[in-house]
Amino acid sequence: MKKISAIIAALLVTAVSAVTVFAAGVNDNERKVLDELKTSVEMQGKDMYWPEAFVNQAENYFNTIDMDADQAEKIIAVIKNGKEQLESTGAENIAKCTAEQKKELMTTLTDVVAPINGTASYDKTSGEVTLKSGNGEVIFKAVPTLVEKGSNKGEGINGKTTDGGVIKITGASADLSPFVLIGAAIVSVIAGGFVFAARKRL
Amino acid sequence: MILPIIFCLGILLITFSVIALTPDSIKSAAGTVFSAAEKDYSSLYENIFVPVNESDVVDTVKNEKGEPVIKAEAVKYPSYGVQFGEVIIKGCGIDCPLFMGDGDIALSNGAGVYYGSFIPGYGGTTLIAGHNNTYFNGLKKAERGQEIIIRTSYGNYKYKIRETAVKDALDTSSYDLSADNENLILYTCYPFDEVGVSSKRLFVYADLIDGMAIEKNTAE
Repeated sequence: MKKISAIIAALLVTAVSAVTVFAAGVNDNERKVLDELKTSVEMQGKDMYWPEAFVNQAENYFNTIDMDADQAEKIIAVIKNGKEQLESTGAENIAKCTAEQKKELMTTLTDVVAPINGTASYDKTSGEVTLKSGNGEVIFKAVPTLVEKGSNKGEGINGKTTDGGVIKITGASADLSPFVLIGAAIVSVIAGGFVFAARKRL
Repeated sequence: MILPIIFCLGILLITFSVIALTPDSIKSAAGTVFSAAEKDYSSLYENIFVPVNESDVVDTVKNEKGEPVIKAEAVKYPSYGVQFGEVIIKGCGIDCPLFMGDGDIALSNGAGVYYGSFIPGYGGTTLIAGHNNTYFNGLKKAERGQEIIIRTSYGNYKYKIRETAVKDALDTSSYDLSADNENLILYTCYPFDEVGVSSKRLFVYADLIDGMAIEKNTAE
């Protein structure tokens, strides 16, 4: 839990301190942070990792900023500290953390983004956590989970099996509630019609 | 026998008017069929896409293998939610804007690159989502051998469809986000005529046949 906070916090620290200029490419400092993000955290004796997709999100974000050595050093320290804190929760995965720990995560995230007027939000329906910088730019958007090495599937905060939010719902996008109401009305009316007809015959 | 029918229609009309017939519900219902035109999000996203021609000169450097790659400084790397290109599949009738990120705004206006995958030319997996009732409806016509073109401000990329497959949405073997070779995956909900949430997706896998790589690592 704490590691999640720390890693996300690290990304946000980057958002605050890094100069947002035209800068595609990942420099050596950013590469060191990415390497640290790929290290394991021991959860109940088992090595667990961020899904590859989460690290890729950081890499994409790093491609839009320039990070210097000092910033990278601070971020790596935050990640390492968070790793120890997460291991101390005794949980098997994020989903297994207590409600209090999950609440603590969101509080931490909110506190972290406050200085940049950023936002941390949690969507109960999808289980996604979204972090935005002060200018509204999305830094991280995923269903937080840890996975075993070589796997991409874990358990989300809401306890459902998740791929971390990789594959989206890409069907009909509209709210279906009107159709549900209409459908219910049609069924009711047809049923009523049958009753009416049956009574007339009687 | 006509009486029950009149009764049914009358009650249906009254029920529908009272319960469901509100301006919002009409718009929402219409959106299922015409969702591409339902809302105008054009002011909600940034567009950095400026098409480049084949003849345009791009700044390049040599990579460690001595091959020319697009200089990092010449690429304006897209942030989340930004339109940075377009996807064209002539054989499927698809020609739509391409966004970084696959959030609601992106998918209401085109196709979106999953933020945990990479942009074309980056040397990894590019995973692109699109709605099956709008921009990616044409994927139903996708066939092996068809050409996919992705145009961006830093270069144009051509891919050839290798395979199509219907898989479970949570089947993480459908993609490899740690791949170190350029590959393209498009997907949409399946089946196409299903209304509501589907657990299946149609995946279209394609290999790069033309397009220059981007310089990845830069000096501090």
